Amino acid sequence: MERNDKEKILEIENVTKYYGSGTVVTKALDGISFDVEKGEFTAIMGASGSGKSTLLNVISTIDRVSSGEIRVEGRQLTGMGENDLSVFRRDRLGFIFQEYNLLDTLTIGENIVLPLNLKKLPPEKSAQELQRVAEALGVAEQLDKFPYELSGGQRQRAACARAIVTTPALILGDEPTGALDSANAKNLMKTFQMMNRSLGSTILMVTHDALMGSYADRVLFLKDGKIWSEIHRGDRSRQDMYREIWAVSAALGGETDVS
Amino acid sequence: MYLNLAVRNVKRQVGNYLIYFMTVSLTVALLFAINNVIYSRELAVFVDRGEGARTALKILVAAISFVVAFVLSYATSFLLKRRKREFGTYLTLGMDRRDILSLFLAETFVICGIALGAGLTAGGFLFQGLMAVMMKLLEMDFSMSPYSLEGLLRTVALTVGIFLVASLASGIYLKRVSIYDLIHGDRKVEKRVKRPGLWFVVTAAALGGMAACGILFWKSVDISLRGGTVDSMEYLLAGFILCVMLFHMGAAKSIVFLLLRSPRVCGRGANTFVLRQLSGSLSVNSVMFGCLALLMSLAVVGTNFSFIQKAAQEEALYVEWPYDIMYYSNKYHREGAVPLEEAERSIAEYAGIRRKVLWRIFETGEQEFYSRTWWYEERMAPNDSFMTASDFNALMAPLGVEPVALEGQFMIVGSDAKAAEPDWSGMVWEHGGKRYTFHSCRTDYPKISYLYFYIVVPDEAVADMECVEESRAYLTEKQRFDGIALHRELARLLSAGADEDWGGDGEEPQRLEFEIREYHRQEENNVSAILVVGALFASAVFLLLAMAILALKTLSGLGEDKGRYEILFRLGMGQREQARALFGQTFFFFIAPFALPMALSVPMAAFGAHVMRMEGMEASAEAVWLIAGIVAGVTALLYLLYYTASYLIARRTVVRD
Repeated sequence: MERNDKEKILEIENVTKYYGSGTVVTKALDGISFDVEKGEFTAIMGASGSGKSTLLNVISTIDRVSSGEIRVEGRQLTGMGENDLSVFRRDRLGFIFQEYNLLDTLTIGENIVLPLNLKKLPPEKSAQELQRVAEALGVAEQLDKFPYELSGGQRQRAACARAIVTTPALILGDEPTGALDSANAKNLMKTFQMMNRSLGSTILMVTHDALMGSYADRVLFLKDGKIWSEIHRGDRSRQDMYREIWAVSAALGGETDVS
Repeated sequence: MYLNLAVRNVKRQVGNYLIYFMTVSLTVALLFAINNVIYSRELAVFVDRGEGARTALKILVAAISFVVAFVLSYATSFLLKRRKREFGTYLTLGMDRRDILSLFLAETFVICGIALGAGLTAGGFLFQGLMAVMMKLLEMDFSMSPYSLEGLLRTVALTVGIFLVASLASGIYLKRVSIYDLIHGDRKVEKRVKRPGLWFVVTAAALGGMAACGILFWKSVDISLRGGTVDSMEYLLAGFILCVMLFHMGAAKSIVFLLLRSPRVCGRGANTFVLRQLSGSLSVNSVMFGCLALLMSLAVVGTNFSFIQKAAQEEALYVEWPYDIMYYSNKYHREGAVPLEEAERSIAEYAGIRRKVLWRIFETGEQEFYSRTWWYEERMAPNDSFMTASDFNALMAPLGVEPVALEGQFMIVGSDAKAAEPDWSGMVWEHGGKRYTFHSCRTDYPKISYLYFYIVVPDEAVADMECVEESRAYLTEKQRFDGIALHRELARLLSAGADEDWGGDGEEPQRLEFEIREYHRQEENNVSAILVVGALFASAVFLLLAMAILALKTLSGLGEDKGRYEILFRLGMGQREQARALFGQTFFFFIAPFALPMALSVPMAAFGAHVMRMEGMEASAEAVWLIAGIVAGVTALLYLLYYTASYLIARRTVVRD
């Protein structure tokens, strides 16, 4: 009941995605439907080939759906043209990738401020925003450095800063801890929690790691392109959430690669 | 096995190899064309001193082949680097380095083989084109020229040599590079340029240096043409080359870095990204840019000079030899007498005689006029030479020059600007009891004498002088005739006379008393044909190589660029914005070493026009600007074609839609 009162940021409705043609067709997503509300931190888990990366790609408008509808902040994405999608991606979505995807030729500061430059924000305003997110993410001291001069954890925090600098409606994480050691991975998840709780960011994250999934408010389990199960944290502790994820993963058939 | 795999790989990577293929094909075509020119029978038949021209062209081709080999080694290494991840994977799978090198060489061998075929075909047409240019320059009728086996063999040998040198460079790279570097790239990182402000000062100083060299060169040529003496100008050339290199090195290490400090510039769209992309490629390749700019400058300057020389040739001929034929008969400086009646019969036979003007030079045996010149001090002055006003006017009349009237006056007529150096204005010449005052000193009359200057005086002034020269100027009926054959015929007459008079050995004397303009035209055609064809060939190769390096360098970085543009796409950069950023990145990379050589066309043309005007060649002065414009236009067009091909390949590879 409470969920219906909140603003829906993401609405997925009966989304299907096929790859291939003729007799060789793979159904990557099979009629998936779910919503994400504003300020929610959602994780998507599943075995390899379950469709979680495909789901993230269609939400991030990098790939097109075969059928079904996707709405972000009520805007229908499936019928939008390429240029509108680019502007939408730039203004309303934030991305955090496994390999950081920072541009190696740009300094950290230039990387973070790039989406604002693309948005043609005045330089003074961009500088203010840069300072705000850099301090919030703890990378203010590294702004003049190049990505190769930072550790993996610092790079991923810089990527987080870049993802939130435009104050997007939805932040999408694609295995964001995949390239980090466990200590840095935990730190990054705490950063996600901070972004979610303090900055009010809505996060949708794909992960194969149960520990990382335990930081989310809600976990969706995918199997064969369908949502197989869903758990909510509610008032439970992170440890309880972690155990629950393990239990669901086991029920899923042990196919989920949990660690 | 390698050959099959290589053919498959080449088919798969047509896009990657396109620029390389174009470069090798065009290089082969140019080599084949010029080698056929070298060994063509026409070169030997039409170009006097054919063996000398052939040797000069052979040296030019060998030198250029060396540059080509070096550049193609560079180009091949780009291809190799572009596929290093693939080769790294082969190595991790257990292939050894020799296998990979063999595979890569087999691929380039396939490319070079196909390019050799395509190049020879294109070169066949190019050769006929070059011969058409050459025949035109030699004023001969064009007919299809036969191809020579030597030209073909030499082209194949040079291509194989170039291929081997290029392969050697690839072999060395593959032997030394680590698997890690192959797979992960060179961990290309942005190197901070130290003191971009200082490099900017270097850039500005180099620009100033280039301007200074140009101005000094201009002034030196000016002084030289006005009859003055100048120091050697080699140091100006060396200074200019150094400044061109430093300018590009400085610009590559400063301008983009200074722009990156401007929040206003960087705050707009993808400017920061474009500038960073440029800063990486420019600073790393700054020396290469200097070299390319130098090559292209040489191409532009060389082509301009050769065409300007050709354009000025006709007008210069009329300045130097205003009459169709001139007969100089100085009683003191004769090496042998040509029987004049026989000579005139030959002239009539070859060219027809429309008009004949007799003119004389008189001497007093004194050096009163020459004593006012600086070369008198150096004991290089002859006796004063005089011509009557009536002889002078008779000589000038057919050339459309207004007659002069000298009443108690004398006029100095100089062959060059040196004659105007002494102050003649206050001079009073006393002769035969009369006083003659200064009328004028002219250096702009058509040149009819080999003297530094002669003094035109009223007819009565020469009454008691000795006539030392009775010469004749001829206007012929035919505008074009075989001047070389007539020269040979007159030399034969002189030689025959020498046999009789001095018991000579019958060889052609060094000096003939007839100056035949058509003979000089044909002689100069030979020189300008070699000059123009050689300059065109060298310029085409230099330009081609410069463009190929830039194109291949751009394409070799596409692997890394693809990842970067993928990130931009995910960050919300649309297809059009990506294309615009890629255009900015590649266009400025291409234009960096090209802007200066193109800009050089303007001072080049201004200089050429100035020289032509000083030489009294107004028509050529106008033509210089047109030539510079055409050279710049054609160069820019070729450049644009290469750039467009590179940009479209890059766009197809990296822009995500």
